[in-house]
Amino acid sequence: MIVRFSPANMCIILAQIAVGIAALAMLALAPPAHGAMLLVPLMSDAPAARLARDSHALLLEQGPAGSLVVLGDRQTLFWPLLRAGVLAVAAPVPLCGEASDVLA
Amino acid sequence: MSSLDLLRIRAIRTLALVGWLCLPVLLIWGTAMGSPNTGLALATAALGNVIPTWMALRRRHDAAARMNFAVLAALLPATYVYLLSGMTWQMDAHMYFFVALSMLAVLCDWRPLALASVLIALHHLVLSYLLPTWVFENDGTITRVLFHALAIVLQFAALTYLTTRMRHLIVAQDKARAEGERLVAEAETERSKAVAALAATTAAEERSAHERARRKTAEARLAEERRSALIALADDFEQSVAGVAIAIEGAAATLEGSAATLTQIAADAGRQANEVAAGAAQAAGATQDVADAVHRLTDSIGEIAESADAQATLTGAVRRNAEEGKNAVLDLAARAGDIGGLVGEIHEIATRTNLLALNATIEAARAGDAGRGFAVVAGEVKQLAGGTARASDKIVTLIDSVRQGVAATETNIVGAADAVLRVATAAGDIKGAVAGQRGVAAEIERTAHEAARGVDMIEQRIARVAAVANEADTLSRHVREAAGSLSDHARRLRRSTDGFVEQLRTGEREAA
Repeated sequence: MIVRFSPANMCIILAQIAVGIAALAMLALAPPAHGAMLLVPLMSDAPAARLARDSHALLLEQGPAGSLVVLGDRQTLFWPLLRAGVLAVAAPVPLCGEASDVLA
Repeated sequence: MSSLDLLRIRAIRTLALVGWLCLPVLLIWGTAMGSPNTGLALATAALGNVIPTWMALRRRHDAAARMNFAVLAALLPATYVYLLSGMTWQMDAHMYFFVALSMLAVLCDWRPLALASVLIALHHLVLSYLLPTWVFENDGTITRVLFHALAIVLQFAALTYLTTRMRHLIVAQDKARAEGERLVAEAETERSKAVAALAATTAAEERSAHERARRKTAEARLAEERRSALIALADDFEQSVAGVAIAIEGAAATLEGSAATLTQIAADAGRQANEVAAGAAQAAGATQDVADAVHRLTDSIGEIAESADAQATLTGAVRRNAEEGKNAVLDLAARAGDIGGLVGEIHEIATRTNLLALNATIEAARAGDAGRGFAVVAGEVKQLAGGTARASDKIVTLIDSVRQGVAATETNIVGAADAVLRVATAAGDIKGAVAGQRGVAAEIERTAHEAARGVDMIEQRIARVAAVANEADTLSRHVREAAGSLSDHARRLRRSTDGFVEQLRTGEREAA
C-alpha cells in the first residue's frame, strides 16, 4: 500500500527527521567531559593554542582548517574558548587522526 | 471511527507519555551514574518530544504522526547511549533500541518501523566511522555494527509481519462486527415489523367489528336523518317555492303596473316630442328668416360702406379744390396789391405832369405870345394829368373793393375747407362704424346659421325621441302582457308545488 503524503504532512515528517538528525549530530559532536577535543576557531585571529594552554589543555596536533586537537576538560575549555571565538567539539577520528582515538 | 483508529490514537498518546517519562528517567539515571552528559541528553530528548506531542494533543493518528514517533523511537535510545557514554552500561543501553522498535508495533504500521530501523542503522554506521568509541566502549568495529544492524533488520521483519497481521485482523474484526451489527439491526427491524403487523392485524379486526356496529348505528341514524331531512326539505321547498311564486306574482303585478305607467309615460313623451319637434321646426324656420334678414342687413351695410368711401373720396377732392381756391385768392390779393402800387406811381406821375404843365403854363405866360400855343398844350397836358389822377383814384377805389372781396372770399374758402375737413372726419368715423357693424352683422349671420343647424339637429333628435317613445310604448305593452302571463305561471307553479309536497309528506309517513 503506497501512501502519498500531503505537502503539510511531508513538511512535518521532514521537520521531525531534521530534529532527530540535529539531535544526534549534537550528541555526536558534543565535546567529551574529558578527552580529545577539536578546537575550531570561529574567527581568524582567535588565539586557540594560547587559550588551550591557559586552560591547562594538552596540545596534541594540528587539525584541519587551522583547528587544534587538544586533550583537556570540557568544563575548563568549552565556555572560555567559546567566549574567545573558539568552538570545542568532539574530535572525530577521520579528521583528527589516531591520536585522538588513542588518547581519548 | 474504526477500532484500528482508536487503537492508534491510544498508542500515540501512550508513546507521547512514554517519551516524556524518559526525561525524569534520564535525569535520575544520569545523576545516579554521575554522567557529565545528563544536561545535553535531557535537552535532546525534550527537543525530540515536541512535534510528536503536539500531534498527539491534536488527536492525529495518521501516517505523518506515526512517522514522527518513528523518529522519536530512534532518538530516545540514542540519548541513553550518550548518557552512559564511556561507562560500562553504555553497551546495555543499546537494548532500548529494540524496546523502542517493539513499542512502535502498537501503531500497526510497518512504515514507522522501517523509518526507525533505517535511522538507527544509519546513525550507527555513521558514528562508527566518525566516533567509534561513542558507539561501543571497547573495540567498536564495523563488524559489530553490521551484526547489530542485522538484528535490527530481523526485528523489523518480525514486527512488520506481526503488525501487518494484527492490522488485517483488526480490520476484519471491524468488518465482522459491523456485519453482525447490521444483521442484528435487520433482525430487530424485521421483528419489530412482525410485531407491528400482528398488532395491526388485531387492531384491524377490532376496528372492523367496531366499524360494523358503528355502520349499523349510522345507517339507522342516517335513515332517520334522511326522513327528517326530506320532511324538512319538503317544508323548506314549499316555503321557498311558495315564497318564490308569491314573490313572482307580486313582482308580475308590480311589473304590469309599471308597464302601464311606462305606456302612459311613453305616450306623453311621444306627444311632447312631437310638439317639441313642431316647435323646433318653427324655430328653425324663424332662425333661417333671421339669418336671411341679417344677410340682407349685411348687404345694406356694405352699400353704406361703399357710399361712405365715395363720400370720403369726394370730400378729399373738395378739400384739395378749396385749398387751391384759397391759394388763388391769396395770389389775387397779392396782384391787387401790386396793381395798387402801380396806380400810386401813375398818380405820382400825374402829379408831376400837372406840376410840369403848371410850370409850362407859367413859362408860356412869360413867353407871351410865343408861348401861347405852348400854353394851350400845357393846358391840355394839365387836363390829361388831372384825368390820369382821377382815373388812378378810381382804380385805387376798385382795388380796395377787390381787396375786400378777396378777404371775404378767403374767409369763406377757409370756412368751407374747415367744413369739408369735418365732413371728411365724420365720413371716416362712419366708415369705421360701418365696418364694425358689418363684422357684427357677419357674426350674427354665422350664429344664426349655426342656430338654424342646431335647431335642425334638435328637430331630428326629437323625432328620434318620439320614435323611441313609440317603441317604448309598444315594448311596455308587451311587458304588460308578459307580466300577466308570468303571474298565471306563478299561480300554476304554486298549485303544482302544493301537490308535490303533499305527495312527499304522504310517502314519508307511509314509509315511516
